[in-house]
Amino acid sequence: MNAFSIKVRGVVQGVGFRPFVFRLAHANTLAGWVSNDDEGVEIFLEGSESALKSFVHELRAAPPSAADISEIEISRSEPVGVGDFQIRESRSEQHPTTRISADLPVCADCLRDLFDPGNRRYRYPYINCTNCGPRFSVTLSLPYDRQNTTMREWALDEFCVAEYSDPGNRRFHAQPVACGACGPEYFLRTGDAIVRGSDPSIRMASRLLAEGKIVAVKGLGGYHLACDARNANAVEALRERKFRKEKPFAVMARDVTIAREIVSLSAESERLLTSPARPIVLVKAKAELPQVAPDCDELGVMLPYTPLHHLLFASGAPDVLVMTSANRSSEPIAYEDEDALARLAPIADAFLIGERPIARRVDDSVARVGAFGPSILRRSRGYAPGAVTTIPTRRPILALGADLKNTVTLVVNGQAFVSQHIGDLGDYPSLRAFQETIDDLLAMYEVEQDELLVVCDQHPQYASTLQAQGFEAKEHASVQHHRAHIASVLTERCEWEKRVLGVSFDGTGYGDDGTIWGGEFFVGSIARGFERVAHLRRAVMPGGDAAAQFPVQAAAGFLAQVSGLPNLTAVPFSFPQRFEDAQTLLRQGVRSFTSTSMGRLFDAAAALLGFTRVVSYEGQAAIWLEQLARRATNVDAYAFPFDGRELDFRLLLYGVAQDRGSGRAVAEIGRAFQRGVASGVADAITSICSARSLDTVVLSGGVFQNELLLCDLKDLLNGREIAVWTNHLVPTNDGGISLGQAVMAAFQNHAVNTEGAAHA
Amino acid sequence: MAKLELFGTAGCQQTREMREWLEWRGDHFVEYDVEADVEARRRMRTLSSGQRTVPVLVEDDKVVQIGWQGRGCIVGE
Repeated sequence: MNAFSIKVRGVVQGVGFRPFVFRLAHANTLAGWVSNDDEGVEIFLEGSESALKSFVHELRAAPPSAADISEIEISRSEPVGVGDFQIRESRSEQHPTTRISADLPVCADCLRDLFDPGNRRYRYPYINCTNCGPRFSVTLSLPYDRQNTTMREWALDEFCVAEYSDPGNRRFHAQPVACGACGPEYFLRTGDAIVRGSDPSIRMASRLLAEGKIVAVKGLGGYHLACDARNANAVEALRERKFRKEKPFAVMARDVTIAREIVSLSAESERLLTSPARPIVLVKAKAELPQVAPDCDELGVMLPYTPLHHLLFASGAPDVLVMTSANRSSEPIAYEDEDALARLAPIADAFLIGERPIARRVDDSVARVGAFGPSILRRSRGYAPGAVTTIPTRRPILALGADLKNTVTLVVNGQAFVSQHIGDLGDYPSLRAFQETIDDLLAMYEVEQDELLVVCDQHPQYASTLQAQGFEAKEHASVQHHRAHIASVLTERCEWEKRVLGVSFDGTGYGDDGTIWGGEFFVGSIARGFERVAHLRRAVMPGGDAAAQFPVQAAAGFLAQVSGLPNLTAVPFSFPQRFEDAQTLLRQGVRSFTSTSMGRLFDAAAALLGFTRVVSYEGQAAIWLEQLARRATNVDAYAFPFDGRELDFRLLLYGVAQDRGSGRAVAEIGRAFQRGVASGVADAITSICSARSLDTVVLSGGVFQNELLLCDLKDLLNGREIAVWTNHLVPTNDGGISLGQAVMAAFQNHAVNTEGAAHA
Repeated sequence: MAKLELFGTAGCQQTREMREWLEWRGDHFVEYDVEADVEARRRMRTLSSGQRTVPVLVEDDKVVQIGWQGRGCIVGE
């Protein structure tokens, strides 16, 4: 008789791994045991050599579908004669590095049970099994066992115990399992009236939705505000009550067939839509849904992912629902019942509340299929807290990200865990959410503050920078914003030494010289650092941060360097008073700062084409411009020359202003502007790559959410033998900054490997 | 000739690299250790709007560079 001791690492808890091992051991008549530990799953096996080999073969060949094995370590052991095979209680040690499974959508088997009148869990909204259901959003601590989840308050009844203990059942050791007799229920609250019982309350909620009411629905990682997406009055009411004037709402379609009716789905987009993360997917809209996404040709669509969603649609809810995260504009999503009731009372007509607590807020993720493949715009439910990659460092690192679209990254034993989306750190509720997420991550992986290298942005006034100083950390470091963007792409690919050209375009970031950057070209690698080699021509932005809110203010800054312009306060430009005020600020040189921001350049062009109002969400003017340009088919481009150090915007904006003044169609001008930007950038890329013998360009930063720009660049760089790398695992916007910061800091002292690679 | 000042700390790798670069360029500069020198720390804060990343390179009382190739160390209060 022989014995193996096997360690399996990766996403192996909460995915039915131990039951799978149990069945596999039985099938091969092996004795021993399996247990969860902090690093994954540990297996001890004894039996014949051939049975052991066959076990290992099948373990590698066909693991459970939701598992993601990163490593299998096998060593020979002494047989001890255990006799049978057991699932042992979990063990807990220091610094757990088990990857907690992300939340999973309800599986086909559970859906069948859900709608089978003969099944015990017929219409039970919390149905799940080892292949599906909540994970991250119910996990309170590690290891992943029922007493460490938000289901610990509900004792299993006999029926559920029997399934939970039956190795042949797919609910064998399914931690959040429950049924209508023993588990939590949903109820509906309208004012002071309460409808009890999951089934009546879900039916009532569906009816209210059909009648055009707004219902707050407790989901997996927080509350949604739902209403009929085809009912313009309902959507308008939601906008007014939520104080959300123009930002598009996401919708949930009953099924793929309905989704195909409202948006044009490519095969790739459909694959993303139905992927286990079930993200909101941005796609071109087909049907007109008034007020859902004003001024926008794209629509964010998702499919039902909890049993509750399926029940709502099956009970008569409209087949397309607006499903927007339940918060007042810019606040974090509500996930605790009392908080939701208090904050959402002025917005929702009714509350559909589930009794199972949510362990932490997890927003819906947002993704799209772009010119360079699938990309994630907001990484949250279904992805978090999966480790993004492994960084060659043993130091625990906490990177705090940027102030907009904030995420934080914790590196433990080299594994980089990027938090779920937190939001903009502008107000107290967001800062609290930020602190809670950090405490949560540190507690989960049992990391103490005083062991940490804490990394923040170089911006001295960022809320995250100020928070960083409050940490009693072992060491503090800072990383420049735009290099963190470039590093995030290279980290996804584990390219630590690769020398690349990094193009980092966004709205705002603190530069090496204390000015605001945003149109930067770097050459270098993560290991050796990045040297700034070129940038957008500098402009002076009047009025401080307000320049980001008023496109005409940004326009005043750029246009101060352009001569021979038509009168911009007259028709067709009709720039408001704010433009002249900004010009005065510039002349006086007060409250003005130097900037190389590509985001503001797009704002300036948008202003020239008619977007002269205030923006109501970040990037709105640039998105407006992109949508406008997409309607035109011309291929001409305004000049955007590159002189080896600078991209000069003067001719670009001059062209836009002249053509607008002489009455050219705005969509055509927008298109020629976009093409001009892409041509100038492509020229810069080609020239720098050839001068410095580089074969790869990395594109990152919020501006690269502009798909038209990416398409043009792909087209223009085609055949130039330059590989283009973009973000796929973390957002290209500031949601990816924390990962880049973490890796830049990990390599800070050039001593990440044991050799301590010397700096030349 | 422009007056160059380098604000850094003894233990900071990026300060060392900026110093090596200045020496390699043959620039004449004055270096301050802001951990040991309270007055220098105060001046650095004033010149660079309160920020705490080192190294900071100052030319004729104007900040020209913060950090080295995008990385830096943060000094305490």
